[in-house]
Order: sequence, then C-alpha cells, then structure tokens
Amino acid sequence: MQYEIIGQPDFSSLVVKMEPGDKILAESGAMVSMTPNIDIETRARGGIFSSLKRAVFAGESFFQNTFTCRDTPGELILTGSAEGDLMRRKLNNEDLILSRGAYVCGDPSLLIDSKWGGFKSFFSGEGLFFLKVSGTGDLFFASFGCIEEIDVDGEYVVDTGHIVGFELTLNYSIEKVGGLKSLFLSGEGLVCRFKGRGKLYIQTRNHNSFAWWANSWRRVQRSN
Amino acid sequence: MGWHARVHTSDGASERLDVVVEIQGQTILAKPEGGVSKEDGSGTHGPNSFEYRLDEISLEHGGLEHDTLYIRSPRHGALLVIRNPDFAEELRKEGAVEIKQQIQAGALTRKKRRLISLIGWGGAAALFIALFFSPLGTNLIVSFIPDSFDSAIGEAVFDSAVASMIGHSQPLENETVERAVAKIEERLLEGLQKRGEARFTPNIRVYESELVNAVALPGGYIAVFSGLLKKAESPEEAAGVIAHEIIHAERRHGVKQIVRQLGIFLGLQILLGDAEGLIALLGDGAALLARLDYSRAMERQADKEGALLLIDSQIDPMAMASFFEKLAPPPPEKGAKEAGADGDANGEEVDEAENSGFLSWISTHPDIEERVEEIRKIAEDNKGAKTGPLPINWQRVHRALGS
Repeated sequence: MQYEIIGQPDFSSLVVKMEPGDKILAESGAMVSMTPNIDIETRARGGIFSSLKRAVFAGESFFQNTFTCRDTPGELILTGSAEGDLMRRKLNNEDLILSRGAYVCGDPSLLIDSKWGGFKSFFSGEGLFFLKVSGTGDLFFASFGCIEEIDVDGEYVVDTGHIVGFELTLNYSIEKVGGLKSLFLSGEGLVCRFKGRGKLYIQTRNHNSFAWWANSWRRVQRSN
Repeated sequence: MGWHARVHTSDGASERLDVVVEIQGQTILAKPEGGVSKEDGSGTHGPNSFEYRLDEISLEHGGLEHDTLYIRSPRHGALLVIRNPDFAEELRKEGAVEIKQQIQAGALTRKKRRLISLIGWGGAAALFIALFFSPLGTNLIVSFIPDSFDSAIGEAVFDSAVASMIGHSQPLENETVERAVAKIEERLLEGLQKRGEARFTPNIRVYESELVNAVALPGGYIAVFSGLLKKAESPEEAAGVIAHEIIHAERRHGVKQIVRQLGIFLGLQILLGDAEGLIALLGDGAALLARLDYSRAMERQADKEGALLLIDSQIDPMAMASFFEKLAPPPPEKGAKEAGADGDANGEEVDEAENSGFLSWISTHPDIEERVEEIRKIAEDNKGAKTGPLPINWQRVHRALGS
C-alpha cells in the first residue's frame, strides 16, 4: 500500500494506492472516490457500546468503513472533514492521543478507543474524552489549518484550541496566561502547558475562533 | 525479555530511536530496534546500544497517565522514555532503595489520580443527574428563577410560538368573542385568587384557526384557537380547557421543561466540549420553548388542579370532563397518534392539523379516558360546591365565529 497526500496544506486528501488484499479503515464519510475494485464494509467496530462511546464522547463516526482491494491494484481517495492538513504517523507499538474528530483513517489493526481525559480536558475545550489510538500501523489524522509537529522537551505552551494530538509520554495542565485581566482581554484565555518528552501536533487554525468569526454572518430569526 | 521504549538523543532536536529495553544485572540496556530510524527513514547508524547503570541513573515520572518513566544517565545525554508497568516493576525489584522508593511513589500518585478522577467523575455525574433529571432538582432550580423570567420569556416568544402552530399570530378581532373570553378569564382569576394563587395574571388571546387546541406559555400567556371555541358546546367547556392551561402557567411547567431540556443539552455539551454550541443554545432559548412538550405528570397536575380551579370559580368541573370526552378519538383509524407527542405548544402541530385539525388538542393530551375518570372523581368529591352557569350567550359566540 502506498500513500500520497495531495492538496496540502489547505485541502489535503489522501490518495491510497492499494494492492490486492490491502485494507484500510476509515471514518464514515471520509471516502472521496475510488476505483471500482475496492469493497466497502461498514461496521460498528468494537461493538455497539464501544462505537457509541467513540461517537458520542470522542466525536468520531458511529460506523466505520473498511476498504478492501480485490484482485487488481486500486486507488482510493480519502479526506478529513474540515479544510486543513492531513498527517501520516506510523505508530510502532505506541499510543497517540487525538483531539475530537481528528482521526481520518488508518491500519485496521490499530485500536481506537475513547479515553476519559479528566475535567481539565473539558476546560481545554476538548471535551471530557479523547480519542486514543494504539498499536502498530499507519495512522492518518486531519486538522483545521496546517499541522505542525513539535518535539517537546521539557515544557511547551499551546492555546487549547490548537491541539491536534500528542503522545502519551507527555502530560499537560491547563493554565491561564497572565492574570485575570489577560484571561478575559488577551483573547488567549486558557492554554495547555505540556510537560515531558514526546511529540505534539498542533494546528495553525482554531475551530472555535473560526466559529466566532463566522457567527457574525449567521442569519438570525427574530423572535417577533 | 524486552520492552519497547524510545531514546531521545540530545544532539539532534528530533532524533528519536525506537529501542528494546532489557535489564541485565545492574544495567538497563536499550538496543535500537532494527538499527537507527529517523523520522524520514534516512538515518545513519548510531551507537549500538545505550547503557543506564542502576546506581547512576536519575528517574522521573510523567506522561498523561503518570505511567511514563524518564531515565537519564550522567554518562551520556540520551534520555530513555518508557511506558510500561512491567518494566517499572522489574526495575523496582532490581534497583537500589532510592529507585524502589521513587517507583512506589509513582505508583501511588497514579492510584491517587485514578481515585480522584473516579470521585470527580462519579460526583459530577450524580450531581448532574440529581439536578436535571429528577423533578426535585428541576423544581429546586426553578425556585431560584424569578417569576419575572416566566413573564419575560412568555411575552417574547408568544407570537412566534403561535405562528409556528397556525402560520400567523394575528389575534381574532371580534367583540362578542373577546367579551366572552374576558368573562371566562375574570371568573377563573377570581377562582385563582380564592385559592390564594394567581402568580401570573392570565393573558388570553383568541386566534382564528381550525385547531381544537389551546396553548399555555410561561407567565400566563394563553392562546386559544377558534376551533376549540366552536367545538365547545358551552362556555363552561371552554373554561375547562383554559383552566387546565392556566395551571400549566401557574405551576411554571414551561420553565421547568426548559431547565430539564437545557440540562440534557448542557450535559451533552460538557461531554462533547463544544462550548460555542452551548452559548448559541442559550441565545436560542425561544426556539427551544416553541417546541416544548409537557410531561405526563404535568398534564395530570393541570387536569387535577384545573378541575379544582373550576370549582373555586364556581364552574361545574364536569364541563371539563364532558369536553375531553368529546375529543376522545373515534374508533381507531389508520395511524393512531403516538403517545410521545405530549405537549401543548408543539412545533409539529401544523402537520397534524392538516390531517385531522380537530384532534389537535387530544393528540397532545393522551389517555383521555383515564383523565376524564380523574376529573369525575374530583367532581364527586366536591359535590357540595356551589356552581352556576357562566353569564355568556354561547350561541352568539358561535355565530360570531361563523359556525
């Protein structure tokens, strides 16, 4: 199986060149196009409960599709939901934490589970649950904006809305920048301070900021 | 026996080696897995293995689950990062007193954290359920909301709620009808005051529509559709439905439902972490109210206390029962109304009206026979109460409505 990411960084999609027998697991709705010799199998992976947990808590789709290449080589294009980058990460018996909705597709052997992130993760705007991907194989995840990979050694501070994922060897705490005044006036609000040694993935755009910005053009129904 | 781990060498910022770790005597040995692999795969070969002598190393706990060990050696700058409880256990067995203590402290912190998160999670869930899903919790929250909130929200959404049901919000202008309704209103208000209530002064408006329905919004805003007045054979029958709606407002059923619904949304928002949606939702409280359903218990309360209100207003409560009976569904035809649509101000009303306009009220108020029985019982219990007809020429009202 060969991968190529096209349209980077704004409108990236993943082109998968598949050999007979190759399989890839993707979020429902991730498929853009494919050659006709690829089979789709839709399943709630890991059972109903686990899928429900993933769908409700971690912002992923309830059903996931397994794409299998039949007898001749095929091509499959997959993409994320927001406009932004795609990133490939080869997991080698590791765990990676992804923020809500970042998962796009990956090796079917990877284990995907929601993980209770604690109340601090709620205040980080990431929800109470993360997505935890573990195992060995290729993983593709998407961002809003560009993805930057940062090797944290010691400490590193990120705005809460810009986290895409991080390795489990990193811990983080939620802090406010500066005093109370800057909490409300700096526009920075809360930040995550990462500690330890490991990789951190950040996105160059923030969903929440974008939503606020776009909200000013939203049509509002008058109440009378 | 080996464990997967990673070594960060200090020379290049991003040089990471996947290693297999073993404990050999008093040394931790980290051997690169299949040679050196830089991220781009173009790595050159580095040292064969990294050595960490147990009597020299410094140990540090970290990671999201506090299960990561960072191991440093004074001999070289390479940092060993490993997440594996088995390895930690092995190290504790082999290591010196200091290492033992450190690893035990780490395990303790991990346990403590798990306990704290369990308590926090359980506590929050319990509090959440208690606050939003039990009637007791809802009532408690609502008791902190001033009555003026009911009036404000009722006034704000009245027109749009009516429009969502019948397509317009233009009150019917007809003196005869207005006077008749004013008379009913007056009598019921007297009854309310006699009961020591009247939290809100009812504000009843009549709208031209074939819907046999009436709607109560918070703050005593009540819409009565002309279809209902036509269907009622006496002013007392109409008063029965209006009394029912007044109790909805008086008991603040609308605000209680808002709190309950917001609770569910709030819970989802907490889980999903989408604070923006929550803010938008609070702004859209009006939309929420427009498709409000009252619970079955609320309907029962409105029936029961509505009947008592009729008695205190010197109106025969049996009129309420007889009107309900009139609305009882004819022998089941196709597609009986589902029991879930149990609400007065229901956005789906418009569709239902197209099918069977006159069934509108009944579709949102199920179990009619049981309820008629309840009202009968109340009427029996209060047989001695003095009641009399309302001084309204109902035929004139019907003529004015064009029936």
